[in-house]
Amino acid sequence: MIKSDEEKLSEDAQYFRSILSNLHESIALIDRNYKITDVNLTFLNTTGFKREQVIGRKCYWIAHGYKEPCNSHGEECLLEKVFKTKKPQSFVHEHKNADGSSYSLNILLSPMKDESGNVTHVIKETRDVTDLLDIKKSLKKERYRLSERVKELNLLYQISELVETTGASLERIARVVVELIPLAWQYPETACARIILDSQEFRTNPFGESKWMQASDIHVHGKKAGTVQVYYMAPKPPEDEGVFQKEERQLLDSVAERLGTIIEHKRAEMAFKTRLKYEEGLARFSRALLSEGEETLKEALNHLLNVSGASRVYIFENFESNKDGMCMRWIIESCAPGIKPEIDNPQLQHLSYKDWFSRWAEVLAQGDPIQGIVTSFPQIERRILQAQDIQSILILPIFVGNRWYGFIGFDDTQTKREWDEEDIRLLEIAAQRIGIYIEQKETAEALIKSERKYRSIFDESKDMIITSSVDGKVLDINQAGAEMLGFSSKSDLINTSVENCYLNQSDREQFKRQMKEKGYVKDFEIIMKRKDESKVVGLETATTFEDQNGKVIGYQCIIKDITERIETEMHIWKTNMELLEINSKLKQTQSQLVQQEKLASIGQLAAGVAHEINNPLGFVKSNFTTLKQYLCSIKKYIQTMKDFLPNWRRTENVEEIIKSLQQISAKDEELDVNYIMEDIEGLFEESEDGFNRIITIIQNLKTFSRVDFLGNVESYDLNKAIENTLVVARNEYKYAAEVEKDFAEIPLIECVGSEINQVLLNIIVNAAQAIKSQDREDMGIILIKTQAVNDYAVCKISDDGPGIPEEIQGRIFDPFFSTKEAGMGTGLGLSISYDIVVNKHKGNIAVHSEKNKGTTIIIQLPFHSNIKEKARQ
Amino acid sequence: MDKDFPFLNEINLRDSGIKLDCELLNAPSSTLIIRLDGFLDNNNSSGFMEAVLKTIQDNKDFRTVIIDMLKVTYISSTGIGALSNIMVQSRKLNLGFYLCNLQKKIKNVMDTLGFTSFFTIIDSLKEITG
Repeated sequence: MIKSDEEKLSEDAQYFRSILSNLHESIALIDRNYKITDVNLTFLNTTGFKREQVIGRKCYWIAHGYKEPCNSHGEECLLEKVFKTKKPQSFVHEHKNADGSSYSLNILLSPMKDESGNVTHVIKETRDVTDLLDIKKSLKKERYRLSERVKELNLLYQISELVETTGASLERIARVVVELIPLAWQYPETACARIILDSQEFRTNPFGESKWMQASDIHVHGKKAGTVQVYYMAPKPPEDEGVFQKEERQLLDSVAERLGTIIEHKRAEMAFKTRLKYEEGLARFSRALLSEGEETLKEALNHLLNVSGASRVYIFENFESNKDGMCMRWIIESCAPGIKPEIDNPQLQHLSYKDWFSRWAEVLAQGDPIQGIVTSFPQIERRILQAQDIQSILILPIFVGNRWYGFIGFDDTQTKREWDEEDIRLLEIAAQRIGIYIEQKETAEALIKSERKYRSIFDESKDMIITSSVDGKVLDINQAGAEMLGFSSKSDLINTSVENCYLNQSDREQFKRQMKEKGYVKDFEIIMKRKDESKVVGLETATTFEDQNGKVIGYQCIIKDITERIETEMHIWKTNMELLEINSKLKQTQSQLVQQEKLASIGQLAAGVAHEINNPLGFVKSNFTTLKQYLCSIKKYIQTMKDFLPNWRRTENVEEIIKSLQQISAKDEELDVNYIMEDIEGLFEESEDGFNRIITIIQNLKTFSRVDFLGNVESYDLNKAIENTLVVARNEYKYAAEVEKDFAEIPLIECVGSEINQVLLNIIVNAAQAIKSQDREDMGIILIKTQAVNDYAVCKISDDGPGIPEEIQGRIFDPFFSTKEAGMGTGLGLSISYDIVVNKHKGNIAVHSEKNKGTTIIIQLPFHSNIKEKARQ
Repeated sequence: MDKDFPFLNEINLRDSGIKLDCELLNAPSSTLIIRLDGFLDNNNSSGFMEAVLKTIQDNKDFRTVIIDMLKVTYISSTGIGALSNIMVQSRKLNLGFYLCNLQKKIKNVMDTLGFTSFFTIIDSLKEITG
């Protein structure tokens, strides 16, 4: 069956309508009057309208709920554009649904033309792209956010890079960072930033403050050190929430924190660099101090000048002045170029602390520094400092050991500098080094001096000084040592064996043994032999010396030549022993001599006694002769009487008797019987006296000589003994001197009486003989005085003789010393007396003599001596 | 060591380099024999001398003193001086004094210093003690 065109057309319309209805896109047909003429199913599904609600209605009402076309709402109507341009238009549009919700649509407006090409309708093809758009939108937002974060990250990265890549200064970093900050902000073109650090400020260019500002503090080691600020110089688009994003605030905080850390690091780095600079400088300074030479200290100061950046570095030394007390004087300085040196300033050679810097003395002596800006210093200090154009100063004390030596000073003449603590600390180390240097220098000088001294001791010593190895090799010897051994030069001995010098190898062995046991020998006597084999006796004192491991490697010895001393000593010993022999011989001789002296005394005594006895004996003898004659006469007279008597008895013859009596009487007269009888009595009396005198003398003699008790200790009456002695000695003095006695009461003395008598006799006879030696006409006087003084009996025997010449007074007690003519004395009298009194009786005997006035001998005898025991022995 | 000689005993207590040993012989007469061991130097000689002197002054019955030098390895001039002094004091006390058993080196020293003639040096104790 063939369909009609109409049928065919209707079939086609049906077909297209069904396609249209089933298209996924919603399609609406709109005419020039905005009227919707047709829609497909999808349109109705998507919009929720019913077909009858849509057809014939205005598109702006359906799409937007407007009562007028979109133009009158200020929106461009693309529909009209299609009618006008006859070209399709595509856009995304937002429509409202029936329920009022909005949705995004991708709209394609295509012209529907008639045969003449006029646009009659617009086909509005709509696809709901709400989801797509939402995704797109959020994607875009995310991308934006990401790009913002990247900007932020970029900023932080750039900051990090800036810090890491360069040794940039803090200033440079701040300058760069401030320019980087706005770039990380949402609207870089209107953002600006400023970093305030301490007193410094870094700004972007351009920069302008505004009310849109955010800021974050920079903290360095927990302390606020500055601020970083961001301004918007123009308002932000209104759709942005707030002026600054949350991220931006965080970023700014992060930048501030980062800057804080950078400052910390930079400061640490700066400090480290300063420290490094100082350390390098100090190392150079220390190295300079190690070098030797006059310029050492100057060189070292140059380094300190460089490292410290001061204008002038100098050292002052303390000294004591009698007038001004503790003073300082300029020692050395180092000046920066263009700075006036103070070398020629005479004032600095003698500056009293007391007058100018008493504060300094106090602070420096305690080891503390003085520093600061000179204008803040006391007036008196300023006067000196400002005269040298010093603006600021650092003074550090120098100590040598514990002694405050002086100070090192750092002047700034150009700037007012407050010294950094760390700088001061480092320069204090330099001051300490200088102290050590000066100490070492002083020690070195002392060492040189002492080395010189020891060298000279070694060289000049008169003793041998020798060092030898343990096996005996001579390592060094001084000249005296070489000469002691008979060599002219020490080089003859060095490296030879010291053992060659020993006379007896046993001495060396003994020496080594002692060195091994004790590590030293002291006053060790050795006999050495010289080059010519003669002997030297040496007194050796030695110590060991060791290598670094403490192993004994040699001996240091000082050997004194004592040959002469030993010879003298030995000579003395020999002499001693010879004397010993002589002495024992002399002892025998002496006892003989003493015996002789005793005999001599006895002889003298006998002579004196004989003389004394002779006188009474003479007249007794004469009386005896007279008496004998008288007896004869008396006998004759008696005979005459006898002859008469028998006759008288026998005869009566008176005459005869008378004659006889006359004869008797004549005889009586002849014989002078009466006289005889008278004289006889006198003679007897006289003779009796004579006998008595003789008996007394004999008794005295007996008492004096103590023949019975010779050598025995007894209780001795000094006064009585003197009387006895005077009797015995009378013959010596009686024609020359009167004896005056002044006796005190003297207790009995324990002594050997016969010996003391011998002493008294000796002295009295000497006194008499002294007077007799004067050939004088008058009688001399011998005064004998006794006293008891403390534990001693004192007897003073004085004569008024010629005295003993002073020059021999000291010798009168010497044995064999005599002033008498040969044969007159043994010369032992006083010597024996001395021995008796001083040695045996522990008494004293002394002499006082004055020329032409006389001599006094004083004898002191202890009342109690231990002579008893001795005598018994 | 005989306990009767405290002064000599004391020497042994010191670390002076010399030790001694004493013996008292009663026949033929009272004889003190002092045997030395060590050295007589400048430092220990006077101590030794004083001890011997005190001992001989303390014991009145000694007739003879003999110093046995067999083990003496070294003697200084002071040592010789000490022996000389002991001899002098012995003489004063009427004691016989002898040195005995001298080592050659010791004899050399005494010869060198010219002292051999002063001492009575015997070769062995038997010369005295029989």
